[in-house]
Amino acid sequence: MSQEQDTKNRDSNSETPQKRAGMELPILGQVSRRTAIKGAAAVAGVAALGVAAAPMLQKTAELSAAEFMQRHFKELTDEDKRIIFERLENEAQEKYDAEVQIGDHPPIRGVRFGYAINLSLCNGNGKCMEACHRENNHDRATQQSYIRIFEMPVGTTDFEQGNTSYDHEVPQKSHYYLPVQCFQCDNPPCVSVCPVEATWQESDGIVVVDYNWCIGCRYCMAACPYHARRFNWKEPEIPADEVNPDQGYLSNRIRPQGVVEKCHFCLHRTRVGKLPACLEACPTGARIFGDLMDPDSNIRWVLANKRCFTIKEELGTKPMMFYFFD
Amino acid sequence: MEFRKTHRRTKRLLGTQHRSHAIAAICLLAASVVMVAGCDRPSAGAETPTRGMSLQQISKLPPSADDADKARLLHPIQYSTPQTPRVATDQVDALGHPITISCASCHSNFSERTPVVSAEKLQAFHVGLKFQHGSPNQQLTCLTCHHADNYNYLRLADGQPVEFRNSRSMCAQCHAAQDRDYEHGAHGGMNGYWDRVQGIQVRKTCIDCHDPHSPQFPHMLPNFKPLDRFLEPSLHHNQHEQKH
Repeated sequence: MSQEQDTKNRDSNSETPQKRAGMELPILGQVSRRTAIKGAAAVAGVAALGVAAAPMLQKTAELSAAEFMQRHFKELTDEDKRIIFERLENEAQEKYDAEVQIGDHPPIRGVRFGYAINLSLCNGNGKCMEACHRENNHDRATQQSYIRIFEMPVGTTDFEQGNTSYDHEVPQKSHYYLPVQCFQCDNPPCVSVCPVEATWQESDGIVVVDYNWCIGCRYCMAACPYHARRFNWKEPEIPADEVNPDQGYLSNRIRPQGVVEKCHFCLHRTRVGKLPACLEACPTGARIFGDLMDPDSNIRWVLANKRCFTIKEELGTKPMMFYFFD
Repeated sequence: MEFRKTHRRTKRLLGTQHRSHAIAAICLLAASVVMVAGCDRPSAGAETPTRGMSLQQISKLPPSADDADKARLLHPIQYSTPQTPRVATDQVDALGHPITISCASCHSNFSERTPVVSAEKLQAFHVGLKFQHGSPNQQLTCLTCHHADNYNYLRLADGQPVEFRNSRSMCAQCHAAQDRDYEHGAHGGMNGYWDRVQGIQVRKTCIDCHDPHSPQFPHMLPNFKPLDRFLEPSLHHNQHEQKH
């Protein structure tokens, strides 16, 4: 009922009290329902304010400001984010002497990412690992990367029989090469174990980590059945001229020490329409990336026309990384 | 001579096709602009629509009924186009640019058309060419792919000439499965944008990765390896195996 109608009704009611009698008992001093609700809301509001303010009142000297903020937080506004990104950019300038741009890349609406790897083409040359290393500002000393390639004997997907440290000519006879990275599971066990909700799944399926929220407990690393997560044992060391300046808050910005990180399908690239770095680097063309919701996408064609499988399907993690031979 | 006539005819035909294609393209473009003007990116909702779906279910999702979705303006796919090869000479022209000659410069003078099956037999020219294409029981010769009447062209199995820039159509005669996969982005890799609404996708062509004379993909030596603690030499797989 619109305001105008409401007013008109009330006016007509005041003119004809007998009509009104049918709607409301004419008891003197009765508090109307409207007033009662208003009053109740006011009381509830004051109470809620009290509850909300209670921690403020309980704040003691030993509780640091950062700790306080971690217990009582609000959603960041765009302005808040801008300030944070600026601070992080300044930190990168100070620590690494590199001018970087940190962006907030929201998921594209209606897009859900899928990745496929043609194991008949992959020859284990490791260019994807190297591209990941450079794109994602990994520590140079440990040559960290989100990808590992297993050299597997033909006829099994048992990782116990695989070897990631091969350093001979590839491909070897009666072996195949199985690149493994975060599968962006639709039922991610790493997310549900996080005690502080520092990792979550976004609407395009990418499981992200807030490196400033992570407490480094590494539960998620234990929960992941694919060894997809990495821990920053030390602060990454990267020469200034090798820092990738195109950074995202939830992706490849230089991570602090003591936090967990993982493949994020290069979201700072893929969420602006670009292909992931590992795909572009692959000299064999084994990698296929795209939008699962687009019926004309390459990834959908692969799913419909190749015999795809996922790794450790029996665990019910529903990976979004599909493998196939052809 | 016969070839040249045929070729001119093909060219003329191609010309008309180009015109009609251009008209069709302009009409399509206009239609797309009109349709796209009224719509934004398709929104399938903020929820994750495939959540809980099995792999089979995802692959069998019906095509989107949203017609506006189809009418999105897509950036073109930029295909790599091989050049018609030219042979370098050790001479330079008046301006100092190196002089190159076309294959036909020499080959049009040869009257003999012996199908050469092995590059080792070539004494005068193409010395050291590795020719390893096709299995031993379906031996290919130079003239399987190169046009015998005009070496500036390739030839299809039915004798039709093909320009070098369209060499993929010749490869596809035998490698149809790979060509189909390539057509759907599942072979050959790509660069640029997965989302062609936002940018250009760059594709290689067959001979960018496969040497046409020896198409077997080369063996490689990995030169990058993350240094994981569990990969320390004492636990190195190969050494571990040697101990046993």
